[in-house]
Amino acid sequence: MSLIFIFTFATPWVSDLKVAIGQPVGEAIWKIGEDPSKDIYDAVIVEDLTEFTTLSINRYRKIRILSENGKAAAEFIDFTGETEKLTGRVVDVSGEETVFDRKEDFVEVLGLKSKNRTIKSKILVPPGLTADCLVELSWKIPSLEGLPRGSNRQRFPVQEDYFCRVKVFKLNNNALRSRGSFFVTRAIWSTLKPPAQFAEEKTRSGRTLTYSNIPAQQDHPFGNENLDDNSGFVLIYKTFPDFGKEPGRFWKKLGKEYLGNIWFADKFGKGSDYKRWIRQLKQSLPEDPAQSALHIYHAFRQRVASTDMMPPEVKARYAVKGPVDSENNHYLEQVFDYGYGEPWQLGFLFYKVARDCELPVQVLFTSSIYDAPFRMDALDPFSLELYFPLFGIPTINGQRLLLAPAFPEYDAGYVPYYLQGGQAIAYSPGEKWSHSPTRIPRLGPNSHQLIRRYQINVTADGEMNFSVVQKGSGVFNARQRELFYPLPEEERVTRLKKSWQNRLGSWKVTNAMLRNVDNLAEPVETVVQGEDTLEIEDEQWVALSPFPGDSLPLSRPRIWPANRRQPIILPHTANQIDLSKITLPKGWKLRGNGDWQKQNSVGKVSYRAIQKGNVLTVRRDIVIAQDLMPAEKERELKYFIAWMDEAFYQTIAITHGEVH
Amino acid sequence: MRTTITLFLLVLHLPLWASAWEKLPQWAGDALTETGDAEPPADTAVWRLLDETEITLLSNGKLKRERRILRRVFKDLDSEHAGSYVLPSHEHGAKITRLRGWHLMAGDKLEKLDKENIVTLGLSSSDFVASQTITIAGFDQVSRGSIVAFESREIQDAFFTVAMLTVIGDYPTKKMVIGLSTEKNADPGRIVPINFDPWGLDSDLRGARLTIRNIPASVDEILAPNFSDPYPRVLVGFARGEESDPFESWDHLARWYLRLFTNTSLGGAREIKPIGSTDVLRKIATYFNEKITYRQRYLSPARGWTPEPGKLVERRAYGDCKDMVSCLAWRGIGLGFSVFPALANIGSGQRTGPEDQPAPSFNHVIGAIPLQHSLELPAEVDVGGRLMLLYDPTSKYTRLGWLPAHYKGRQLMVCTEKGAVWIPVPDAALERESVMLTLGGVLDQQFNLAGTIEIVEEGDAYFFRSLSRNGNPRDLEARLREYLSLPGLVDLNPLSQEVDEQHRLKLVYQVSWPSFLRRDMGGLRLPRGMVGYLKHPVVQPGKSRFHPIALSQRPKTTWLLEVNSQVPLEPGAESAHWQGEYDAFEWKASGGKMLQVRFHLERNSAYFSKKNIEEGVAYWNTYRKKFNEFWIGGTLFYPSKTP
Repeated sequence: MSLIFIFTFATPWVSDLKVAIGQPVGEAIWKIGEDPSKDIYDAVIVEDLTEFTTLSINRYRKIRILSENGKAAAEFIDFTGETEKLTGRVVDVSGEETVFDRKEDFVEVLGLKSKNRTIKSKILVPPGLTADCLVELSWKIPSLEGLPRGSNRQRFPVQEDYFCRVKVFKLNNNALRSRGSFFVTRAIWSTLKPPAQFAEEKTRSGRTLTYSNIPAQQDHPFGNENLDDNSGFVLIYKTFPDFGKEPGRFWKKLGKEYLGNIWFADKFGKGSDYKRWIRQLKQSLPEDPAQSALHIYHAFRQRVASTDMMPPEVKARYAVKGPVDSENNHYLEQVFDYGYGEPWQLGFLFYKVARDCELPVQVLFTSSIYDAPFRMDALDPFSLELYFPLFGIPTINGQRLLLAPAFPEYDAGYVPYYLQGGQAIAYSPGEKWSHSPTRIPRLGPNSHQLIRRYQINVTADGEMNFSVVQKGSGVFNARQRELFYPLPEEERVTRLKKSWQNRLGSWKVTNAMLRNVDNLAEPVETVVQGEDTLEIEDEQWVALSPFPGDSLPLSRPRIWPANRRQPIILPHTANQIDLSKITLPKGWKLRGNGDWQKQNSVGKVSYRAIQKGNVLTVRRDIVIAQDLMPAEKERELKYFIAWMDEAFYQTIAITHGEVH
Repeated sequence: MRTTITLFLLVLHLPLWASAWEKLPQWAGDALTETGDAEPPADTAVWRLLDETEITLLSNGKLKRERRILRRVFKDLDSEHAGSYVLPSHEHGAKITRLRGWHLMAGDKLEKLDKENIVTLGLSSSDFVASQTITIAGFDQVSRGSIVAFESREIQDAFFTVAMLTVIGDYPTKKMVIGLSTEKNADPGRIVPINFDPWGLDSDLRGARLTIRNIPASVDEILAPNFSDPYPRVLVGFARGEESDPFESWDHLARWYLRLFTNTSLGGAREIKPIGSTDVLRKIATYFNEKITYRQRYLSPARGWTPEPGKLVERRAYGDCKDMVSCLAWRGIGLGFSVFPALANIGSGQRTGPEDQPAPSFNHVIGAIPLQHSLELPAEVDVGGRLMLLYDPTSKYTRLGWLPAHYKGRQLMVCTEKGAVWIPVPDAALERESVMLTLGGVLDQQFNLAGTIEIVEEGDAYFFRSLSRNGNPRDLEARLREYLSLPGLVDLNPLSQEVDEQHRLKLVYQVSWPSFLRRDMGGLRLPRGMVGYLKHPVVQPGKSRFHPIALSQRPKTTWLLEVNSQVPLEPGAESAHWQGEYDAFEWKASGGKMLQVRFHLERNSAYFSKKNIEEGVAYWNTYRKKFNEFWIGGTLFYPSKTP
């Protein structure tokens, strides 16, 4: 990742950005063209300026349109309708000029209307826009302390959909300084790696950040722009004023003065039922903290459901009591009494339970992989998923057991994939909220196992039946739990049947059952049975699918843009085993050799079929060994996907004669 | 004794139900009572007990639309939308004057619709600048046992007081009521049910009130029509009484539209001037191709029909179909020619023709340009004794003088001073479409392919032509992959792109294809993108077909494979051939170290109505059997026994 800088604003500064729309268009502009070697297509952002002044953010853009598709670069939707003084012009390559500043050109439409607010959006489609032209636009966004009104943080991406020659941010001290409010405005920005360039100029009045030769952004499969060295940003945000600029002191104070006193403040009333419950729980706790945590977590999950995943009896209760009133000062007591709560409420209640059980718990916060990664030095608590605390408990072998109570589909030890792998901060409430930097681990293939065992019988007249038992761990189990847990028993069976039937083609599901759906201590196990007829009567040989209704652990994207720079981040690793025992009718045997195994650094795929007597055993292994890898591994990943795909569609042939 | 207890419980239970229902509005309670103990359709998650629409023409010319919806939920599964209510496509000037909702939960707790749970969203984008909005209201925790009721009242400005309502939805409906009334006229309006018979709908039309009972839910099936013609719908309309009704006849509509068009696009009628040379046409086509972008801008209800003035379209450099035809007419003044608007229905629109009930059932406008004499162009047609060229300015990548192939089988209504002139689009005017794909290169020991693929597209069969001219080659590549089922793991590197003298687009890519031949059935299977896969049945076992069967025309496709294989291979079938009424395929293959395959596929469009469904099923079964038989063994290769 690129370097990052932080800036707080102190001294006054006077705007020197003078933008004049309507200068003659030089020959150089018309010489700008597409350049496949630099991935330049459709349009080029010739100039982009963002200036933060006292009461507004001033914007100016000069865009060279190069194709029909490129017209999109000049379209402009202001969803919040805050934009003011939008003017501009289009100059066609023929020299024809269309100036726009009319109401007709900037159409106001309703964006959103709800009980509490109405947002009018504004849409500009520049008039006179052609596939070979230059567009200039300038506008203002009313702002206060460097941010659009009502906003606490805004990220200005450096990279966009089109190649950009120059992008300038002028950070005016005067505009962005604190006015003594609780929150103070700060800015951080990143540099870019070559071929892009970055320059910074510091004056008495502020700073000017200049990014140039910025490549167009690309959406890569299994990509993440936040991990891209070419995806720079300028972030303007509000944060706490009193905690200083020194990271150690900042995070310490945040823990003690904010998290402890405010964020995790007791939202409980008398809670007599709760007290009894805790008392009982404490009586049965083992010595070892991790074991104890497992016990508490299990009891907690059985006692309180997430409204995203309510089992039938909780739903019935909800139908009588309605939602928890989170405006209530003692809403956590209500969560406990009702036995359900919003996912974010569960994290807060679990904190209380863990503390009341005297568990040596750590509270961990991290950022989602969909946001910029959390950095200790950025002093930005709002880049953390503050509503979704994770909990860590030390284990006897020096590891840490992780719990994610807001995501009850995950068993102890697992957290959702989008909270994995990133920088995190761990607080110890029992030790005066002391803190330390840490990471949330990404888990290996043996943590995400899926096993399906098939038994298939084929009779001489082609009647077939199968039975498959499926069980998984990690993310595989979480998915099953999420699907079935909220449903009444008979609908669980219906859903199970349906989901298999959708994948089974001509097979007909005859029976299905589930085990351990309500038992959160054990993985969900499903059993599905079905039948089909194989048209073998007049046939010498037929195709047989050994794993009817199977699935793959990884999606197979259709588009992989060239020149990848972003690292590859798969949703999870996996170890998927499909095993099938097929009883063949007398005289029938396996035809040809379909065995193979391929392996690279991404993973392994193997396929084996062995016949012993009239029983055919087919085994397929798909292992995704790693889920985070550099861009250079893309080719290997594609080969791995090709193998996975090949193994997925592979059928076996059985014959009862000689076939040529 | 047991009987007594049961009776006691029943007595206790009944008033409980009744009191719970009392919490709902009167109409909902009535509908529940009317339903009584009727059995819900088998296996349904949600049953719409009532779907009532009452439309009133107000004395100020606006329309008042009142709706009442009552749903009963039987399953948690598949009932995601049971708690929501959508008021779609509100245009400029429309007002929702009432929106209420009730949710009687399984535990008899009544929840009333909170204003927090109502949201109105604008539907605009850069390509669709519009005042249209959608309003969504709903309840969060709807589950089995829930009863959900909504009622709404909207007042709308209406350009036409004629509308088409659909009947079949995602859930089965016990009772649907459509009623019309007017505030001032004695004539309450008219209701015309269309296509009810083939669907066996139980309906009752009394004056201006239509009741339909036991409407089935739509189901997912392959080969369902993607056009609305076969489905039941209801035409509702009011005569406004102020002026002559444009829907009195097609002639009325044509004259009315020509007048509207000429007045708005040109500011009044002009002398009709036919065109005499292709040079002028070429000039105008270049102008539209280079300068005008297709975009819809709908800021008033009239904009569905009324074009913007031609001069304004010129300044904006964008517009929709009618705006473009308006601009065409406007520029025609300077260049010395005239334009008649021709109303059309393309894509999923109805196949409207002169025999249909006049209705606002068009979705497209193109230009009919009078000619002095033939310019030897395929899209020239005789319009009531006048030679005209059909020209679609929105279709910028169609060759000048032709029409896009998707006009096949459609009729256009040219709006002339004398009335409507219906023109069936001649096949000869349509651009021919086909695709030829040639794969060459080397197959290694692991059957990975390294070589080239050449794609020759005639017409704009898969929009390769359009995309190759739009800009970024990534979009073209994405489309190629989509239409040829080329998986993402195949690397494509563009080598050349050219258009030959027959206007065919030729694209050449370097290709790297891991596992090009895949192990299957003890042999090696060609890729699905090339040979397709097994065809599915058109009727599920033990079920009857719900939708009519529609086969869509596909461009003729030919695959040629010529690769050197490091492992000598033999084809599963050296030749195969089938010619059905609508589908055809032809296969030739040879092996050794040089694999050669020629695989040709064709499909013509076909339609089997509900009445002819057996015929359709029989056709599909025959085709399916033939194709699958060929596919299973034929599209495999095997290692040669004697290298």
